[in-house]
Amino acid sequence: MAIVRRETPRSGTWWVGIAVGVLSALVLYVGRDYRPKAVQFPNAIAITTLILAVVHTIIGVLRGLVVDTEGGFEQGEVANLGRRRAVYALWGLGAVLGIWIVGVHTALPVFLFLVIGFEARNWIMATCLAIAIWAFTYVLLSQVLHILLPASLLTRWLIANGYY
Amino acid sequence: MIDVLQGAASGLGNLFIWQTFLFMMAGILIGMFFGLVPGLNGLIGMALLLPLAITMSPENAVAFLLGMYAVTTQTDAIPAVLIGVPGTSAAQATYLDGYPMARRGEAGRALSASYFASVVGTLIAAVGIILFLPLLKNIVDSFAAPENFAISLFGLVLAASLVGTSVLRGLMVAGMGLLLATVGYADHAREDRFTLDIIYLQSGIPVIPIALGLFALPEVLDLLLKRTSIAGSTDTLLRKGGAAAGLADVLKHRWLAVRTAVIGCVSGMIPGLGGAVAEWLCYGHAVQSAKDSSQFGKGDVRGVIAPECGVAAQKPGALIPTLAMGIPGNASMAVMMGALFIVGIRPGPTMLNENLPLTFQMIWTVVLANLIVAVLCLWVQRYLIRICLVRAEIVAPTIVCFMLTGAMLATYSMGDVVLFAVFGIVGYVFKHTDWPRVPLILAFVLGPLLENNLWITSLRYDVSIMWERPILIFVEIMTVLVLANSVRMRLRTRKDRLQPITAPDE
Repeated sequence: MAIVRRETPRSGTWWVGIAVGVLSALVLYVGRDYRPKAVQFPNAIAITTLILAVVHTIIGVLRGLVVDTEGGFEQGEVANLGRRRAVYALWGLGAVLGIWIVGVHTALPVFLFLVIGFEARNWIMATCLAIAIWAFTYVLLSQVLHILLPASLLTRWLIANGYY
Repeated sequence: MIDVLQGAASGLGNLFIWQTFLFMMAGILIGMFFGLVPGLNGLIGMALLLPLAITMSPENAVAFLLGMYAVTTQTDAIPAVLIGVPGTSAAQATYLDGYPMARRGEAGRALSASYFASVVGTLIAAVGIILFLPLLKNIVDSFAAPENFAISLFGLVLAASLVGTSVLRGLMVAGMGLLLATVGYADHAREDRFTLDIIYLQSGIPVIPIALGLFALPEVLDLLLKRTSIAGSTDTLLRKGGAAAGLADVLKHRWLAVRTAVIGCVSGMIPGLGGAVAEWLCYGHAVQSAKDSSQFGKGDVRGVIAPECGVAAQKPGALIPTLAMGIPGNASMAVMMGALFIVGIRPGPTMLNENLPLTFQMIWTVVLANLIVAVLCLWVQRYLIRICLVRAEIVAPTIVCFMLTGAMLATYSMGDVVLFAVFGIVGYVFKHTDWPRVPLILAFVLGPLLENNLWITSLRYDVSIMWERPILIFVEIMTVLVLANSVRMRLRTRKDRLQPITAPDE
């Protein structure tokens, strides 16, 4: 069962509270140039949220914040946590850049093939799933349902230069 | 009353004309697919099928469209429970208890409880509409902008105060969600707000990338980091995963199902409230009325039954303002109304007199579609729940690909992908620092509704309406009571479970 614990000030939970407060303050700052009609509602919410964030921060400093450990990992549950988080973040970044540069129909099957291939060491499964995702995005979404997925940088360049 | 019963019988008979029945079945199968794929939903389905539906007779068109629309919220529980991906905002509450059940190896039980709860919900709503149509119409007529604002706020307070360890954090996150909802062009002020001169943000932030990023991406990343399957072992999954267990749960909590069906049906009748509010009102009611509420959010089957029952009952309810008053209850109903106009049916007050059989055919379509899908899903779920046993290194990247595609279906723009990634990071941080994610998405969905109704209220009424209108007074008292009770409950639970030592952040 998850444990509820009292966290020290400047824990992750405390810093997120500060970030929410800063966001509210930013809303108030950016909204000062808008017409009153446009900012009445956001200002009311931002001021309330800012007050709550200040209260949360003060409670964190004075008494510590009460945090449920359910969402986190148990001590030593995952080895090399930081390194593996970085690896998956890079995979994710690669997928986003791939979609932007070469488009969904190419980037997603390649991403799936490489991740499953390298992480699970199962190249047959990787190939099958890559074909399945290509069929889903290209055949079903684009060709059958005629859904226009975002054009890639490459496609736009090819069109602009008369190659496509 | 006799007219109503005759209309109900005639409407049910219309559905069993073979051509109409076949169109309904086609709609159901398409709707199942749209519910299963994160990012696709009933509204997209309605819009895609509209050109086809307008070539049919009115009876066939409504069977086709409503057959599709009715089942999307039933099958969207499947990704929410099995892989922790709530494809629509209406599946958030189901995800909250359904996914922990799947991780415990009780995916089958959670899914079958959700199907049966949906069937019970629509059935109770349909019977309730037949028996109490005149009374319900009076209640709905007394709802105006102040009541809509108050009930939306009540739903938001429920979500903010019931989820997570701290009510304070819940309210802050709700505030953040409301602020995000203000991004984009404000109709009433005729001005762009907080767009940072980015064209993509001028039409507002789409909900699908946020929902997928906040909820699904952190779960998938943790699966990959732990390198485990969603469910622990085959033993627990197959032993506990049965249709009978889910049915037994619904029967055991039958009064909860009845109460949440009534709440869902009435919420559906109020134009603009939508499935998300209905679902949270029902979830909140389940938590508040439970003797032991400590397991909610950790895999309590009542947390699956209540929202599924409510959101299913909301659909027949939403048909009433659309048909009887000509006011579409939500965006999907607006498309539905468009289809009705094109096929020669004029929704409005005369609909209940001149087209009563068609009105009831629509309500029965929702009921029958839910029943058919429950049977179909029970049949295929034995295969679907095996997803919970597939290795994380295989299942997680596949889910990410579907999520990326789903996110892009919001506005078909690269901005959707960026938004999905940004909110994925936010969701991951929130998850690991005990900040609740559900109030953010609900506040984001309810934000425009709250602001518009507040705007209309401040223009048309003075402050005295707060203590002059009985429904408003009732909702205000309920909101304060819920907030006070949540703080009291949280302090009591914390006292029992608080670890005395100070532990470092992981």
